[in-house]
Amino acid sequence: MTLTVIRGGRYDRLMAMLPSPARAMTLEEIQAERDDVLEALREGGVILVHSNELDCFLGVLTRDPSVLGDAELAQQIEAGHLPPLDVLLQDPGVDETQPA
Amino acid sequence: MRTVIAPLEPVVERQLAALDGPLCEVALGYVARLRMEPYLGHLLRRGLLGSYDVRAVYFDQESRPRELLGEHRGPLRLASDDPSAGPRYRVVYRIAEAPMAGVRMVRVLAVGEGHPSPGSEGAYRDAERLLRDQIKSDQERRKR
Repeated sequence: MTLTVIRGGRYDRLMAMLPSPARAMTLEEIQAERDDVLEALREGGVILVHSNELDCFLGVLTRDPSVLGDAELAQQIEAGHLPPLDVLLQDPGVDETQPA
Repeated sequence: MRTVIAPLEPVVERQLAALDGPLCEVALGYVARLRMEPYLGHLLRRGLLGSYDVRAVYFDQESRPRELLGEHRGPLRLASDDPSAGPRYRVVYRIAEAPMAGVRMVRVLAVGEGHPSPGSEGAYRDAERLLRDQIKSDQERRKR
């Protein structure tokens, strides 16, 4: 049997189903601490991204699979690396047998 | 969710064409198998490929990608074997699950030797180069 102790604030965040860890960082900080940032994002965390001068909130950095895959697919299609979605789905190799 | 194999990049088609005939057939067999088993390959953890959660399938001429069960599931390496004695070739690929679009996209990034002899690049380097080239071409496209 394995027991895991989850302390105070982290327990509360997990129970609230909120992403954790959640941090506010500037672009410079993200670049300087990118290994830690990547690890935090992989754990299910989020980063609220600000400009270096803290004069602009840019958005949220996440690796949430429900966002990441759609974002990547859209970017690949917009950049011309993949054909449009309706063309992709006409591919005879498409497998519709797998559950979601 | 639909699983789609993205059209092969011209550079990947050239890598396939450079393989010996039987090896090319095995590689294409694994690409086809990814439709049924997209998570077949092991996850890479280091460098650019690691940050993209890229995967790799190992294969050799003796591999039988269309045999999912039975005695020929794939070459096995025992703990007592030389670590360099395993399958030499790789299919390096990336999965993007897009729930809003209802698509699980499998993109093959490179096919070839994993760790070739000095002087040639290998599939991992080729996959990195493809990702970097695409990022650079997007940057140039935005500047225009």
